[in-house]
Amino acid sequence: MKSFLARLSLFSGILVFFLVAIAILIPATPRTKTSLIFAKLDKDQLLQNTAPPRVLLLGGSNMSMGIDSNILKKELGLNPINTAIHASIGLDFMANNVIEYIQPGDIVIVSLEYSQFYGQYMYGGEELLRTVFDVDRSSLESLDLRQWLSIIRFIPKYSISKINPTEYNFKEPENIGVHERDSYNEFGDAYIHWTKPAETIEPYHRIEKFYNQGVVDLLIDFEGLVNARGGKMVVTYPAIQEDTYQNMREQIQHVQVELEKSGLTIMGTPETYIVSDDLLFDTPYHLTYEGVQRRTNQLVEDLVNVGVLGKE
Amino acid sequence: MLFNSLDFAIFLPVVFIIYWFVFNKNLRAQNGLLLIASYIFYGWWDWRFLGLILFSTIIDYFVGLGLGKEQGDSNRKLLLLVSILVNLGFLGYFKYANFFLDNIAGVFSLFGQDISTRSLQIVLPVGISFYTFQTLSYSIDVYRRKLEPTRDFLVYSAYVSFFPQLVAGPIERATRLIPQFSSKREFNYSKAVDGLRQILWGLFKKVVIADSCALYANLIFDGASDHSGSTLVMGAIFFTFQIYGDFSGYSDIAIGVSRLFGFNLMKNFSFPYFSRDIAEFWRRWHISLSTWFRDYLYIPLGGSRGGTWKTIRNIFVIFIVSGFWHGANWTFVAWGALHATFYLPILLFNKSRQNLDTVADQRLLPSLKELLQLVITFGLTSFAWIFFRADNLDHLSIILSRIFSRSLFTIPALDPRFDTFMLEQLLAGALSRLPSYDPRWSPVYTLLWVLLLITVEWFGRKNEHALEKFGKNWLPVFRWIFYYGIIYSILIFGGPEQQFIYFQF
Repeated sequence: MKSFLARLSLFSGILVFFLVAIAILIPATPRTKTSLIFAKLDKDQLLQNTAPPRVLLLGGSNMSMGIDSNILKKELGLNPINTAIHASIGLDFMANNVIEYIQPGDIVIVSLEYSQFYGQYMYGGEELLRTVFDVDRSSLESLDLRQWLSIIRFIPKYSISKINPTEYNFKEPENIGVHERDSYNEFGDAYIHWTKPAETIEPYHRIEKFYNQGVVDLLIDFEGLVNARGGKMVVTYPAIQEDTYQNMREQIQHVQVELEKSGLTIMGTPETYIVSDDLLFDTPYHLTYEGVQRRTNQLVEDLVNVGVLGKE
Repeated sequence: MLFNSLDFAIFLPVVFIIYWFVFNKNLRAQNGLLLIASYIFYGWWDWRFLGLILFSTIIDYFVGLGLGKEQGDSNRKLLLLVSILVNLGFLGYFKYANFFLDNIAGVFSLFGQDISTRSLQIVLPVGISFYTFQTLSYSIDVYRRKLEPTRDFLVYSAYVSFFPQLVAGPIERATRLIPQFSSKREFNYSKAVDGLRQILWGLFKKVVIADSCALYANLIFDGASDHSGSTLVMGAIFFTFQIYGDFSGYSDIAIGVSRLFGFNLMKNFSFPYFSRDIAEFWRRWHISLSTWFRDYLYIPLGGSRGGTWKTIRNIFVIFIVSGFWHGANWTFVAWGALHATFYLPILLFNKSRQNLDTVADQRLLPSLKELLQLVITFGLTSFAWIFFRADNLDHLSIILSRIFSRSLFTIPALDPRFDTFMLEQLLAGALSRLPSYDPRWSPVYTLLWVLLLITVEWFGRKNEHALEKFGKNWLPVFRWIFYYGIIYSILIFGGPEQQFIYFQF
């Protein structure tokens, strides 16, 4: 038995050693360099350089693929920065990354996919791992233990992708794709899909994980930090496909109850942001341009309603 | 819990370590652990169906005890009937209720009677066809006095629910497995290492072969009317390897995992695509099910002892029932009947046992005659898999009508996205865009993996599994590099994750 375990440990140890070494030593592949996570660098630049008065959008792809900042700019007279990239980066990292850029007068609008409130999603997943290893290694230091525990299981897949020949034998497509670094406009909104038609989208199933109170606690802490820097924070709900809403109704209503009793400023209700199938692009959270317009207008209306600002 | 999941990758070592390090000296504790582990493994899908397994276990345990005590024939028959009715009752309700309701409604509608039946919302419990047959074999063997009923409830329930083979077999006989639960198990280094090798090969077959082939088989069959006959033949070949990789891969993992715990499960696949005729194919494909039907259906019906017509009837019965076991769909019945038809000439000419050895037994390559036999048998089984794969009889007729058309003689589209029919549809505006595509799973790569599978299995065709002796004479460093290579292929080239096909049965 000892001999069996010793040999098995040696065999597995060599495998793990190589996987970790690959993750650390091999830089981002050519294919990854064009991927949307690299947009973090551009969005950090926007956060750094955009002049006040500003409105910052924070969340997963429901924000990046669901808002037209041109409308916000026109209707609110603020300079928008859409910081959103992917839900799997996790609220914890998103908030931590944005906070250092907050300036007095900034308005931060947070819209999180409902899965963020369940399980360990808020601590990030594969996209966070790729962000901290490939895009910005300096942010490795900012990860806490829960984030590490959340992303560590993606290391084998991540490492393997670096020795996948198709990651290197890669030609950049002639046209910009929907989910790439270059898919974002000058405000950080994903816009390439705006000209594309609606697609038939399979609804998401109910969320089978436990509610995580840590999300609301983090939002409360984050609001405190934003306020301390002279900004304001509001929370809104993501636009969501009607069938997905029905499948997740119980979990969504729980999120609503918890947010409303948190003392945070909440805009609208989940029902306000339900969208029909003809407004969906490629997931139950991603909108066609018509959907983007409707949602952005709704957001403007809600901002006015909660009294955070007045319409110009 | 899927064998090819992270959950299982954590579950297995934990159970293994507790089994050998904590409970090593206590057989009852080991059996108890296996029982709990099995229920966790099964409950991972849907804990509600644990009650079904437990109920079936309790019924058959007490039926077994009753059969052991009872001497009167009529009472014994009654007890056996209880076991059969309970087990087949569950199977019938969960698997076939909607099928029968729909067909009854269909028959009435033929006579102008429109009876509306509402389909029942029934979820098929994973593996019910497998563990039902396993428990039935126990009751029947005890009834036939081939087996003493076990009094140890723990042993019996661990036998019914043993997690490596619970959801997709091999369907173990009580005569073989219960004694293994009843006797002390010692850790055996060679057996455990061989088990790991078999698990590795099973994962390769499932993740690299089956899941990659599935991508193309699904693409081709789901859009059957858009594809040429030659492309549909390609689809049939992809499916032929998909179902083999999927099911034999599962069996390899199940057998390998069992070996880690000191158990020997029966061989379920013996390189069936190296068969020279259909009879040999059925001696090599899903052996645990074929022998189950042979022992509990074919032989009780009279087997081949009642003259030609009775034998033909029995052959059709066993194949059609076997087809129906796979699913509540006429396509499975047609698949079974087709195999019976293929089998018939061999039977009538008394050639069913002419290929009992391994092909090219003492040679590296087959003779020309053997090669021809292999190709014909492979062609027949691949053709039959089309019946198995079709969604329903209408879908089947679309596939067959396209195959038996002029388009059979066009060049098949190796990448089905660029099939001429698809392009026509695209140009006509019927499709908005070509399906998504990842170069890792290009059909060329997939066919290369299939070639590797065939090569390795050819060299290992006389063994228990393909990797049993493969590379055994190499330097350990080269053998390990080969194993790392397989792991690499699993991690890189594994197709998009698919459920094991046989779970639905």
